[in-house]
Amino acid sequence: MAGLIRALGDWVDERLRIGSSIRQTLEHPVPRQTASWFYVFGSAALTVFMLQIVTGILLAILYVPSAGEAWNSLQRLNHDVELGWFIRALHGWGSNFMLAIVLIHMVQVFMFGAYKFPRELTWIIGVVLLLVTLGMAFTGQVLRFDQDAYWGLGIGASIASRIPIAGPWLVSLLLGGPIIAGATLHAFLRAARVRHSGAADRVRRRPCAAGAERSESTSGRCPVGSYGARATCRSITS
Amino acid sequence: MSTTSMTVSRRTFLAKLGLAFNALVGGVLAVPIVRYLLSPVARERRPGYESWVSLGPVEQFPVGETRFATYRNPVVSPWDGETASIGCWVRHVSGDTFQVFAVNCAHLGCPVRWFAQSGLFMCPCHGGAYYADGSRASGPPERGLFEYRYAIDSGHLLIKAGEMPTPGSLAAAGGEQPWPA
Repeated sequence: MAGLIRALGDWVDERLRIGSSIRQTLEHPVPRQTASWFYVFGSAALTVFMLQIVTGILLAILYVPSAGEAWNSLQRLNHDVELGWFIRALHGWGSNFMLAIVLIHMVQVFMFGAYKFPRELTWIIGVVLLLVTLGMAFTGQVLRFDQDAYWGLGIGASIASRIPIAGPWLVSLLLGGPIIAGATLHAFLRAARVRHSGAADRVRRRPCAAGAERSESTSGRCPVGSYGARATCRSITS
Repeated sequence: MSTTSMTVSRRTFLAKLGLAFNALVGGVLAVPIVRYLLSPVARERRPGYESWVSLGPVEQFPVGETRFATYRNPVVSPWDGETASIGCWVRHVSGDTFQVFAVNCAHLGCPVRWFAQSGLFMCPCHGGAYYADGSRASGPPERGLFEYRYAIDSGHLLIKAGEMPTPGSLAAAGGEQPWPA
C-alpha cells in the first residue's frame, strides 16, 4: 500500500517537479532561536483563511442571495440540512478567529521589529490585508441580512456619510441604492466575493526574523547587522 | 527509510507526528463536510421525499378522459417559485379506477403531452410515444410512463408524490421497490 502511494506520488512528481522545491523549503536551515511558536500566526491565519474559503463555498451552495429569502435560507441550512449548522458555525467562528489571529500576527511582527528594512513593504501589504480581512468580516455578517446586519449597515452608512464632500455619494454606493434593501445585499455579496478572491495573495512567506536570506551564500549564518545576527544559525536537523 | 538502521531520528519522528496530526485534523474536517454535501441523499432515505397530495375533487376528471393536473410538491423551499408546481396526466378509466401518469417521459424526462385525437402521449424531445394506458408505443423509452400510486379520500383524488421519477428511482415503480428488498 505504502509502495503504491509512493509510486503514484513519484509518477505525479516526475511530471510536476514540485517535490524538490517543497522539500528544500521544509529542510531550509533556520537559526535555533527562530524555531519558535511565535512565528506560527502567519501560517495560522493562512490555515483559517483556507478553512473560510472551503466553508464559504459550502454555504454558498444553499444560501439564497435575496433580501427576502437570505435569512430564511439560513434557517433551512440550520435546521433541515445535515450538519448545516456546523458548517455555518465553522464559518462564523472562523471569521472571528481569523481576525484575532491576524491581529496577534501584527502585534508579533511589530514587537519583533520584523517590519524594518528590508521588510517595510511586507508590513504595508500586511496592513492592506488586515483592512481586507476587516472588510470580509463586515461583508460576511451582512449576508445573513438579519437585524444585526441591517442596523450594522445603517452604522456603516452613517460613518461613510461623515466623509467630507464624497460622503453622501459613498452612502449611495455602499447601499447600492437609496435604502438598505435587496440591492445592498447584492452590492455586499459582490464586494465579499471580490475581496475573497483578492485576499488569496495572503499566501506569503512566513518571516523568520528581519534580515536577509540565510542561504548557502551566507554559509547558513545570518548576515551581520540583521536581527538574528547573534544567533549561531544551526540547522534544526543537527 | 534505511533498512540497515532501526533507529528513528527525532526529526523523522516529529515530522511523522506532524503529518499524523494534520491528517487527523483533515479527517475531522472532512467528515462533516462530506455529510453536509450528502445531505440530499440522507434526506431521501429518511424521512423520505414522498407523501400523499391532493389533485382536487374527483369530478374534475370526467370518465373516459385524460386531463392535465398540477400539484404543489410536498417538499419545497419558499424560493422555489413555479418550479414547485408539478404537472401530471390523470386518466379516469371508470368508477374508482384511475391512472395518474408523471409528466416526465421515461426516456430522458421531457414533458409528454396527451393528444386525444390520436390517443397518444407524445414527447417533444426524441419522439417517445405512449398509448392511452401509458404503455410504450414507440421511440427510445424502454418502458411505459411512470405511474403514481393513487387513492380516493372523501371525494378527492390523492397521489403519492414528491420526487421526480427517473428510470431506476422508487417513484418510477409506483412507489414500490423495483428490486427485491
